[in-house]
Amino acid sequence: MKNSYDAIIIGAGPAGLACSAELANKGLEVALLDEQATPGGQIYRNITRTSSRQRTVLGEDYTEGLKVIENFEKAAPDYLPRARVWQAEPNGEVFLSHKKSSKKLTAQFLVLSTGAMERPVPFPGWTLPGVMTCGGMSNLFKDSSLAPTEPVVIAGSGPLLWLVAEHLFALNAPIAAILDTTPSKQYITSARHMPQALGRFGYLMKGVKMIAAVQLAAKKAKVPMYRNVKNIEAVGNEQLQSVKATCGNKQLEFAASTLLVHEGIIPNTALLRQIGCEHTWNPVQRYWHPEVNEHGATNLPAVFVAGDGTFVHGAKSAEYKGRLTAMAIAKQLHRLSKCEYKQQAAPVREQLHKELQPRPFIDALYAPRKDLFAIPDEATVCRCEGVTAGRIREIVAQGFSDHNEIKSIIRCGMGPCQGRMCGSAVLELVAERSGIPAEETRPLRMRPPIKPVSLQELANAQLEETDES
Amino acid sequence: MKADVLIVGGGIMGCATAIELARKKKSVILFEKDEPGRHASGHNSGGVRCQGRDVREIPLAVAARAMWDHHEQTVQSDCGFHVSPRLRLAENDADMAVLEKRQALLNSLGYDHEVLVDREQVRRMSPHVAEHVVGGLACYTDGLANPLLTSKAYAATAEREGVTILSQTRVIDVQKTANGFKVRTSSGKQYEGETLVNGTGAWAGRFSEMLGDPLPIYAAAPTMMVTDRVPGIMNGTSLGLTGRLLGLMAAENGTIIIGGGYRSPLDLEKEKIWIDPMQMSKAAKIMIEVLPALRSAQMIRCWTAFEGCLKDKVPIVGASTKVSGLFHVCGFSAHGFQLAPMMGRVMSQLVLGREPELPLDDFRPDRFEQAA
Repeated sequence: MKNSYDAIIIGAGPAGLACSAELANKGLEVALLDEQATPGGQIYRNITRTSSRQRTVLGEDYTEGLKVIENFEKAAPDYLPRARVWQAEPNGEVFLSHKKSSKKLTAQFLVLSTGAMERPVPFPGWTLPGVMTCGGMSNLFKDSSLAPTEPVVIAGSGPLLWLVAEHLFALNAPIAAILDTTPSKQYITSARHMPQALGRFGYLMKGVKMIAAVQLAAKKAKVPMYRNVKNIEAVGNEQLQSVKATCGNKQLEFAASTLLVHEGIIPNTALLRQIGCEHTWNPVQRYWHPEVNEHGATNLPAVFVAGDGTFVHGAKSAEYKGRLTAMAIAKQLHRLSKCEYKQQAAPVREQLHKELQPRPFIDALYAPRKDLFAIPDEATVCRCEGVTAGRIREIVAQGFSDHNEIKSIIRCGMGPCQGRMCGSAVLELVAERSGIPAEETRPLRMRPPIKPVSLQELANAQLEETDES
Repeated sequence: MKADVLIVGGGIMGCATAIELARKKKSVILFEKDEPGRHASGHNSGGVRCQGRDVREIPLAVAARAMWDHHEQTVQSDCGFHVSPRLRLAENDADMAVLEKRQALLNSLGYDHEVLVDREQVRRMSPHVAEHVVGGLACYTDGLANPLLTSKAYAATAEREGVTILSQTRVIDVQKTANGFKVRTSSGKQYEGETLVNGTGAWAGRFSEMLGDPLPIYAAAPTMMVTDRVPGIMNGTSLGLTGRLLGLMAAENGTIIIGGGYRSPLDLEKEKIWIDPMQMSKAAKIMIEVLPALRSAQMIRCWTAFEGCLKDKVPIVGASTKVSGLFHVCGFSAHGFQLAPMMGRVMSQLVLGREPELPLDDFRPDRFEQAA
């Protein structure tokens, strides 16, 4: 590793891998930093090490990642796994923690490809051991072939819910119930995006087939499956014992030791916010995403964002976005002429456009349902500081609508996660109680270090410029 | 729109002054370019500290400290205030000599709020301090408060008392007129008042310059940090050092708030501060030396705020010597929070043309010119 690069890419998912490979292939000095031990991000997590059995279960969409890895390895940019970036600055400085020591790297350009995360949604009992997300389950399987051996309930809305259900059937996991919370009326409201989505008919059919396969498997295995489900509740004392929900007038309850929830995917904007990227509100998916142009340029001249961090579009799009960002940077650093840039970017841009065709339909179909954040007063919202929904409503009723101020006064979002887990919910609770639209409230500020760093490590940190090692 | 008094700046000083004036039946309009408490008033380290103050400030600080016990009656909020004795540590004999001299000075002036303590007493108050610490100076009545809660309570009280607070309203022009001042704001409106109070913190120098009364105030960005919860380590005692920069506040929830003079680079024009990670590293080094048990504690967040500073580190409080009817209350140099309730009192007395209950001569705006 050097201390200084042409470009530093943060996050080794499909966008970061493709971007760093493209830049390295153009002769630029590139470093790819990633928190995990192996490249792949969340979607291709652990792909360099998974067994053929794991790969069979995870299917083609997963093994697609092998090609991305292959290109990346051929291009061979500097790659630093297990590196936690805790601060980045618009002048290209990156502060990171690696092997219990902190240091500073600099680059002319930064590409933040920190991807997406599952939308955290508080509900009664969500902090009980045994409750986790579908993505978390998927990670456990990718990392260590783990799958539940005791009854598991799958609840929520979105493609990942069906994908994980499919995997769990393939693994013969004892599924107690599948509870789809997608409101029926969203099948109608999303229909107007269908014509455009049909441009990628094959992609849509893959989704339809996946859901049909899960339904068939559920029928065969006599697993109860409900649609239009509401009011999910995790019940138990020390550990999850059962899952309650309602479906129409029906009260449901299933004994289970694991509950997998999923309420969609949102950009992971922590580093983007800390560095100072401007954000825009998406009213359909109800999340903040950075304001970027087609190749990921932000309001900060040296900072680009690539991949699902810009807007959740999936792995394939992330790869294209990563490449387009790389080309834009290569052009700025005179490794591509204007003409070459046009020639090379056009086909990638076209592939990206095609890939994006079904997204408005999917985003509308799996939009967060209206009552998703109708959180009961007694439910915990901020896990770090133990702040309930009721306490938040109370302070909003007193006239506070800025999460930053709410944080300072009742500590909601003040813990080590800096509001990553409660941010979405606080936003919606403020909107609900104050009547102020979410997009008009001041977004939560992220302060370095965005990940906790031990005092010993900070004390030993090499943060000043040093000679190349 | 007209009022007796126009106050510019919705920090705690502007709000405190507004409350006292409104209680004396003056009509007050207060302009705030953002939200009350947005900068240093609402985002400082929360120290309510008499200890270590410049002797010129001590009478005000002692009087202010008494007022912190009555916030529930005066501003309808406890402001999150709680006592956390402040112990200034001597790390060597030279430090101890400094502290001894300090106590002697205070005693000669008739103050007894800072008390010398020996090695053993230091360890009783703060059992985890490092071996090399030889003694300290304790102020048992110091405490901590929640700065944003306090600032908001002051602003809310001002409004209850009838003050018009115009948030998100920037003063873009101000002029002296025959019978007072005329102010034009970012919302395109004009306001008139007989007197004008400058409580604009980091912006106080440039604001005052609009009236031809430049002040030698410069902006700084005090940088605070906070650890994860490390219950028991501080034992409820907040710490300071004598020969080095560090202030450790023992928050009630077990976290430690770090302040004490760290600064980050800033751009006042763009209202942007870049948090300098070197400050975290410097503070962490000293923290581990003073409290070795903190080695495995985590730094979880930094924050900063714009503050107005003066080179002699005491504020400007008083009537402008150049523009009649203009009053300054600014330049608190990162230790104004504790003084706020008392500043409201003396400022209102000044504005009403009365003799302030404590002398303010040391805080004259023209003291730098005199020195030159």
